[in-house]
Amino acid sequence: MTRHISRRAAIAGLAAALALQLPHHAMAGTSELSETLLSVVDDRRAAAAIGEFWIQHKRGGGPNPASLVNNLADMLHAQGWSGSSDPAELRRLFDAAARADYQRGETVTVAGWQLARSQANLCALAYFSTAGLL
Amino acid sequence: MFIDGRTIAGQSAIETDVAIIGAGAAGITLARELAGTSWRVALIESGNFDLDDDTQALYDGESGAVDYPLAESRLRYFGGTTNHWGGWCRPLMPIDFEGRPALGIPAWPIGRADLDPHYRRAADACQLNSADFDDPATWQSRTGKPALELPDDDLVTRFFLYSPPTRFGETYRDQVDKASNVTTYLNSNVLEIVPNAEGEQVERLTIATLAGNRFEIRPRICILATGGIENARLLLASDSVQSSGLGNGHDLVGRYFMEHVTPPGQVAAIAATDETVIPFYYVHTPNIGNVAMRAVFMPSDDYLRRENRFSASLSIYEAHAPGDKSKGGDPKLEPGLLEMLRSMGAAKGPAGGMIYGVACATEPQPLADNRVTLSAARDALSMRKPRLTWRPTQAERDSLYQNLMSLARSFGRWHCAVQVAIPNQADWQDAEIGWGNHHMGTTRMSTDPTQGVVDADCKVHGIANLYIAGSSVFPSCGPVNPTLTIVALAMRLADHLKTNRMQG
Repeated sequence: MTRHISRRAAIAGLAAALALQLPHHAMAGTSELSETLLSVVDDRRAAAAIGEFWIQHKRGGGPNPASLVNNLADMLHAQGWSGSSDPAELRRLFDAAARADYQRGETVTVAGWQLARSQANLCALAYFSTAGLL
Repeated sequence: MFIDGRTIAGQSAIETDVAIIGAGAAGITLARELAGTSWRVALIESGNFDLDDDTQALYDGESGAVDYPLAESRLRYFGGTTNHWGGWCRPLMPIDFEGRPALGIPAWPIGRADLDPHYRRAADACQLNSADFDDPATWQSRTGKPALELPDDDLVTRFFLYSPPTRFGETYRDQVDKASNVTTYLNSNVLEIVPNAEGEQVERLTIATLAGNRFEIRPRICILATGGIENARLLLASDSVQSSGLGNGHDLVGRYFMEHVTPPGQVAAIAATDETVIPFYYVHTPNIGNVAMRAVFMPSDDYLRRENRFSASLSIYEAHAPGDKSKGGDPKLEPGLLEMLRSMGAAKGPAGGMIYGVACATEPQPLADNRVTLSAARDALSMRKPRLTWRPTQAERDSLYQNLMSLARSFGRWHCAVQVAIPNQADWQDAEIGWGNHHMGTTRMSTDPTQGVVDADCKVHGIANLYIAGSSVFPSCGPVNPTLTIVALAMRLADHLKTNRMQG
């Protein structure tokens, strides 16, 4: 008998497996950090729809949920982030990161939409969060 | 004065100073320009004042590669194809005249500066009420909204002005009628331009009507102005003295056919969180002080040279609320997209936003194999029908894709996102190929007779008294509609004739 595993289930499985490999304090930190990053998103479900579409159609699979959080944090640090959770500062930094992505041509395609990699990553994070995969 | 060719006695031979074959934008402009001179001018038109099915059927032909509607894409009666044109006007850019050898685009033997005075007059003839095509400051002051200045200057704003559109037949009929030195022969089809035995001088035009009578017009100067398909067809069909056709010693007549590919529907969409970002005159065609205008995006000269790309005109043709299915919107993704853009914007804006559809016209690549030839089939006057072999190139498509990616990068830095609706590195699919009904390049201009059919004065190389007017002389055409340039070139030709041939 052949069992079909959906991409969504596969991604959930991957996230769970990765989570098991992380120490408890790292997971707690990841969760807290992701909430800080997602604080700029008012409608998390709407942004998650973009992230889900990207991950499900991305060749080679989507980003690793845990490393995604760290990548986004690194990206903000590169823009001068002090670690503040002030949404206005975060929004300014995300904006600067997206502009830099566009300038460098660091774009990804989501249903034909050309998005900055940082934008797509934030949407992917929204998806992982709403799907309970973080 | 108008004369119905069907009333002319068979075998008549009419002497004239100038014969203009074809009463479309170019032919009527030439007649108007030569009105009031000492020359007797014969304007020869196949049709009458209204569309007639039998006459229109003389435009039927065959097409290969792309299935192209030869009869439907032009009109064969007084006023020609201006009887159904859309009215978009703008001049070619200086870079269009300079040539870009890496893309196979030849230089014109004239520059934009040579046409500028004629463009201004052509704008009047097309009833534009302005000739401000290139100055954003003008339109900022007149609309109160500055034009968009996209990052990097890869894409820049250009302006189209709209003709009402001028129906040259209706608009200028009285003027042509009242010109005492101009006689218009209606229902009169030129079957052949017959040169002398040496093939160096046009002697007579063989003319037939669908009623059956035939006559001749014997001009001192002949101007062929029947459009980008028929100009080539008539030269090729004029083979009683030179078997390859008139002006075709280098096998160039009919070659380098160009057409603006305008894929049906949208080639891109722009999602903007703030609908006031894009000024209204990019989305609509407002009437500003009696001038109908519209802004579009086009690649800058620097970008075209640096990236070696064909140009395009990118215009916003519709706007809809995010997720509006009735307008083709995606209710699942578009609202989320706008939310994400708002979230990541430096200053969080209000909810809402707008999705704009983007249409395009692409600059064609002049290729020798895209060409008009003669078919074996014959029309009701026993003239061989035209056959058009045309297919846009993958290089044009690749340029379009890259131009759209530039649009995406530029708008992305403005808290907008762009959806590119054509895939990368793919050839044209037939369903993607639309066109502007612009027939160009088949008797192109060059100082070198081995590279072009007419010289810088639009005179056919090697034939002393044969000139060509219309878009068939364009060596290149940018991504813009040709009518304004057709009219400007016709005015320039008239000036040349009055200055250099009036005493002859």
